[in-house]
Amino acid sequence: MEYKFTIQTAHELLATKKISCCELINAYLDQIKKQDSDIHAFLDVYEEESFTHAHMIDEKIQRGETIGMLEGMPIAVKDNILIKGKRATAGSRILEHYVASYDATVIAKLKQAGAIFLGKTNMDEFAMGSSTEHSAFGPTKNPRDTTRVPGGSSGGSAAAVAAGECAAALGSDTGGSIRQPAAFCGIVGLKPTYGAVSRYGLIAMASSLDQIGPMGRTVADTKILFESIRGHDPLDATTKRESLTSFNFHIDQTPKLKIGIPKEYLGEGLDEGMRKAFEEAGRFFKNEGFEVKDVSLPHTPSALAVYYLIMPAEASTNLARYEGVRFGTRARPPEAFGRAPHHNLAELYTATRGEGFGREVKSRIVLGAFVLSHGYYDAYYVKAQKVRSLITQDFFNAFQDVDIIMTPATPTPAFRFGEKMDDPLAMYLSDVYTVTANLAGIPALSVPLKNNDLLPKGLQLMARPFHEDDLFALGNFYEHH
Amino acid sequence: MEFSVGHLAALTRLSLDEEEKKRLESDLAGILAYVDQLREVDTDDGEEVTRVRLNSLARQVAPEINRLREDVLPSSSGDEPAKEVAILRSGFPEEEEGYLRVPLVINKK
Repeated sequence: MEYKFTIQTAHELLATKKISCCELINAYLDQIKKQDSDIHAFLDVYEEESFTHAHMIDEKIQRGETIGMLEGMPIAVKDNILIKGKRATAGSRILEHYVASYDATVIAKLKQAGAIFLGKTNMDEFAMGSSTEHSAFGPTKNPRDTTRVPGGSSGGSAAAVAAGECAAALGSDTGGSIRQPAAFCGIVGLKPTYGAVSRYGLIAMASSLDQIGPMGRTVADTKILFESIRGHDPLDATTKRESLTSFNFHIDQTPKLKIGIPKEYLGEGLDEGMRKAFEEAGRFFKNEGFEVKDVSLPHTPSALAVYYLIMPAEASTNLARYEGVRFGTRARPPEAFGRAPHHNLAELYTATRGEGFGREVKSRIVLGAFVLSHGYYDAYYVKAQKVRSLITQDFFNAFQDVDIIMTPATPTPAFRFGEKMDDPLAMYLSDVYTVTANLAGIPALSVPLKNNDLLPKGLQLMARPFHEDDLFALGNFYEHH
Repeated sequence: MEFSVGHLAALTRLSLDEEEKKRLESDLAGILAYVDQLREVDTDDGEEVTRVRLNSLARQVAPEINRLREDVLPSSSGDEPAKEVAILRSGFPEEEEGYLRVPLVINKK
């Protein structure tokens, strides 16, 4: 049975009783059974609950009641987003058996909308990584080429959508963790404006950068999911209070947005095939009557350095709570190894965290502590925050001139397993085009670039804060031509 | 830049074996060399300038400051307390008769 439905198509089929919700869920669970022992997008699959929920939806439809757009829709959830009563590992051994005691706000909203959670998806440990190779539970494969990574840290969610194992998925993005895997797997991913979506119930990595966001097969699907998860939340004081407008755009009514291409994103390091496909996209918009001009974001070359100072600092603080005392994995008692018991809590903490955290996590915790330490704080952390404000200012200046800033999403397409594991900097460089949007707090969308190669490539669009609709309008236009 | 992985690991309560220590030392040396480029960026280093700049950028994005909610539980705070506690208890790494078991907190040395 066909499974690669869009949310809109699946909804129509359900509403017109052409398929039942149970059949819909079964189609996706079948895909998971067929492929996921190879792809490994999912860490947990909720087969029984999904069917129970699907039965309820079918009864509702039988009674003649109308169903909402997301009702009965199978959604995959990244494993750093809490679903009450379900395991949440954040891809780490230290939370291997942790069961969430509350729902994230985005989950509560989706439950209200009647969505069905198919399960939790794989990720780099604590969202630290760009390939999902840093998961404590094994990597995920890119469904478009299984010798290559799906990207990260939302690699499981991206692979699940690309492989037809769910209708759409939730991911999280701190430095590109939605957009880069979306680009690598050939799907759509949105990092919302900072403050558009509540972070309550998201296992925190870097609190001034994190956002939960939607990933889907089409721009329209991504927009549907975004609209159901966004909004002010009293439980997250960084969410914006005012209600956000939305409109149902029609292709013929796509506003003639002005597009800027920043030259700093087209320098060396950009793969030739990517450059060609990107330049094609620029020509495409010109031919369709959009104004496309050069802009400059002069502090772009500093962005990765700024990110790799601010993010580890915030992450090392956020990960201090994992000590194995109240929850999570606790270090095995040394008595079990014939050694003297832990003398004190410090020893327990050290052993627990030493065993429970992987290599990349330890690296960033240590780096973060260093940049925050006495004598180095001003030179590193404060300096980085100052440069961050310059990066943000660059964007605001550019947005005086243009409505959308367009760049490649990544410097190269998906790389092979192991290719970037030896040199952390090589891995970090795959985020060079995505970190800026997190630093400036602006929304950014990755859509598949039209290209003839088998390997997907991503086009990134960035817009002013809370102007996600501009991104959807332009992305939708590109997708349909 | 001077830093000691051993010292930082102790501060952050991370146990590292010799191999991990060596690898962290070399990885972090590389990263710190890379981020050092920020020295060259002119940030017009007056603190007042930065504060004003950060504040005005923040206002463009979210023109609200310190809007807090009331310190009360939301009206529908989920299941009955017993169920909520049961979930929390199920996460205790070590428990004894419903209590969370932890090692000695105060060291009588």
